[in-house]
Amino acid sequence: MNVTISFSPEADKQLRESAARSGQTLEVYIRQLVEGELLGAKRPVRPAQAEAPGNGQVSLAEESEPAAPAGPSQPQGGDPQTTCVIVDPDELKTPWRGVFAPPHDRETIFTTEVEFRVADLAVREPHVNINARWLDDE
Amino acid sequence: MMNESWYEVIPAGSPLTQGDLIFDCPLLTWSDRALSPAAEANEAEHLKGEIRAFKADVIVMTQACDLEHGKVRNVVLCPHDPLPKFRKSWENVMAALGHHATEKAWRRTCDDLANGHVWNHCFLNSSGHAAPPLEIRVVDFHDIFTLPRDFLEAFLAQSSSPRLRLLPPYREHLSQAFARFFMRVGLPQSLSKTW
Repeated sequence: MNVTISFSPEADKQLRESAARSGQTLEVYIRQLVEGELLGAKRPVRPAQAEAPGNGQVSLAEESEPAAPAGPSQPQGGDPQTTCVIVDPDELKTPWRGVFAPPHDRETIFTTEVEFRVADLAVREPHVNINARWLDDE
Repeated sequence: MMNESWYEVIPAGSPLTQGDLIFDCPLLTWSDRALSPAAEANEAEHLKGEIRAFKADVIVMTQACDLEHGKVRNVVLCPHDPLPKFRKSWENVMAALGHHATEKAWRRTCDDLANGHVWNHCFLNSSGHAAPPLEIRVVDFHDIFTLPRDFLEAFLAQSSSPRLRLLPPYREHLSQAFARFFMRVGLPQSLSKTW
């Protein structure tokens, strides 16, 4: 399956910034988003590391370049319009690594308002267990 | 002699990470009282009366990478107390058990804590920073709290004061002590020392 996605300049900027913050290349970051959000329950999320080009799952190219899969581009300046091409995601072979964090639903027993001022709260007291080694008894 | 700081001072709005020190953190728990059988009839109403709020100085124990990559919704926290306060509690417990809380006994206690011989405690060094100041503190792994990350960040955002962040490798040293505490195994029979 081939998918071509054109991102708005705003989304493009956010994607690049988020990828840079997480220390990943743009293509790996987008792939993680897709796998985590859409396939998360069935497919493990990749660890935060780039993969060598050649597997051909995801490639990125600027809008002015051909949409055909090319070598992964690095996040950099220039035209912020980005095209994402996803190729054959079903053939991804991802080992179970890193942390898989699907959302969990919770059954709420009740909700209630608790009013307090932090300054007025009771302070937790230390808990001490005495070890026989410490004793200095006669 | 090296003079590396254990901490860095970070702006109030900095994203959370492992090793962040949070003071007077509001926490909720249940009352220590056992639920009465009558409470089953109206469990929700009864539970409302069992909520207890308190505050504690805590340090973030959640892995930095889990926070960085948004893998967690809740943040794991452990409490820490200033050494004089810990000593006061130690003295009280010693007295209650009929032992002498001498200087020698206190030094042994602190040496054991510093050497990692007390599984559930770990020292945090004092800070050389003038603001915020910090004296030696004792982390207690016996109490583990979790708070929603969004709540905690909103709580911190209310303060304009900078906060302290434990730096590597001291951060990892603390995390390792936490891991040792949690994974420890007590043997029913000790090794026969026949050597």
